[in-house]
Amino acid sequence: MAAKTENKSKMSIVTNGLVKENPTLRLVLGTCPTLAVTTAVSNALGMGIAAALVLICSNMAISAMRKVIPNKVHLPCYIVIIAGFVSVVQMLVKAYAEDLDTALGVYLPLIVVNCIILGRAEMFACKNTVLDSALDGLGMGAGFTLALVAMATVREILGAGTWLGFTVIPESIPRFSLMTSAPGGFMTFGLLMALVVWVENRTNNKIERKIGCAVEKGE
Amino acid sequence: MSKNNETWNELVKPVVVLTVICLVTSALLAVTNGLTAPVIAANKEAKANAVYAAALPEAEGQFDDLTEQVTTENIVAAKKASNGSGWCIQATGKGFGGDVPVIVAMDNDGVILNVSFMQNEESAGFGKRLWDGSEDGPKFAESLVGKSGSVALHEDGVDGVSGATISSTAAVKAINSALNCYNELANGVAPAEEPKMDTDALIAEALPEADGAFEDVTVTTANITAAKKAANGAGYAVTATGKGFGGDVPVLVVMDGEGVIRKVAFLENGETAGYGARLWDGTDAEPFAASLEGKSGSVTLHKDGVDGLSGATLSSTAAVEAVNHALECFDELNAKEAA
Repeated sequence: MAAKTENKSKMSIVTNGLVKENPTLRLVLGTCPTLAVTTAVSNALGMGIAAALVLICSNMAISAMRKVIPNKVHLPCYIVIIAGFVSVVQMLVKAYAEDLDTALGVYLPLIVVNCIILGRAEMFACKNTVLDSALDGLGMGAGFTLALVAMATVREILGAGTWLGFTVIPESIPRFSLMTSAPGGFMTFGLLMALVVWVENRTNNKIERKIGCAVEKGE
Repeated sequence: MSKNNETWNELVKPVVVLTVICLVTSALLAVTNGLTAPVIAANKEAKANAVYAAALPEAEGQFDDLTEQVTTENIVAAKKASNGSGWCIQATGKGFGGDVPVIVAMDNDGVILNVSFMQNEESAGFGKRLWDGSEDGPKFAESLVGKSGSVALHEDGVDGVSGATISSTAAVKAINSALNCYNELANGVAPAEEPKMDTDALIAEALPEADGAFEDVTVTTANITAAKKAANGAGYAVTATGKGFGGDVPVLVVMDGEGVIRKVAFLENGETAGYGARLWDGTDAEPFAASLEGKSGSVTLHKDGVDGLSGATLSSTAAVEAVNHALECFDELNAKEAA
């Protein structure tokens, strides 16, 4: 498994997660919380930041121990570490940001099984330095948040007429409330993905999307 | 040596590494929990107290919970303002569709500062008007401000919600429970027992000729729970049951020596709240009981003024059935006397 060792610049690691390998729209990871929390922009922001925090911390921790963790038990080790960080984040949110806790509900603890986190641990953190892993976590987290906010913007404006709570569409115009329920979520995700693919085709950047939490081995 | 290395690498190292990671993670979680648990607990309490904080703003959201110490009945929660500015007591009264919860905020002398009617399951357009945002609830609440000790419907301007007598009565009951609770907590006055039906007193009052001396009698008539006869033969007191909606409907019938009904009392039953339960919950069963006085032999629903409880036909039929069993029993008892 000879990995292509590119001399990545620190900046490119961050921007990678934002565009080139956006976890939601290009790598298609973590779709479950994406559909669930994008009913409102505030929820999307909260989830994105919480997931990014966990991602950065877990990436750093796993990267720091990458030489020590034997391959035999690497999955249980990663999961314990990720679950630990998620629990910490959950306790902090419950104590200092109660409204966010109510809004995210069960999806906050479900960050543990968010494919993005385990995926990046396997794809990047176990093979790179702590600093690079931290930057990757930052980039991926930012990309995730960006995609979430984009989806939430569409769903909240059309479904509730507000953005971040501020009324954007005058009250007199009826809301397309389908957008805030499950069908609307799937529709928005599909259309957003289609838009991204269209841009890719125009710019010759097509990427093959694998279905599910497929972990790439090597490059 | 390489074999040892292999054992270490294959068997021991994975276990050790995983165990250490688990231990470190647990320690991290324990520390975070220690820091955040008190904050989370405080958040929870503040949320629970929010409703009381709104009722008694002078308390500034800080309450001591005294609910455990309360012996007064029908009290949901009793909160004393930590800064001594007053009391917030939530009580319930039995309404038409269930409980009618009320929060009464009082100052330190037990004078009502404000009353909030909480969500209830009473009928829309009647008891629901207590809390549905219409004017009736607030108007009723207004009429209670400044009162203390005890309140009664249709006295001192406490008129309730017009057309919703049952719900208003329930609300007044709740408010009186709250006032009693205040008395208990603030002044150490034992709660006045909700006058539980004192059947002996009732019997003595209905049949004074008996001079309070009764003997228990065994009878063979069906559906009789208890039968007493006056020692001097002045009359009888029979408790009989009829089959209602939710089970037995027990009725106490006091008769004179000729089998003429002196008094009827509906005892506690398991019928539906708002329907058959009204026989014994103190709301509107009096006229029904009174309509049976003076009857003898047998009674029939909707005949001779015996109209039962409106809307509670099943339970009323059961009650009439019980009264008839009691009258049957009189025949047996009377025959025994003659023998």
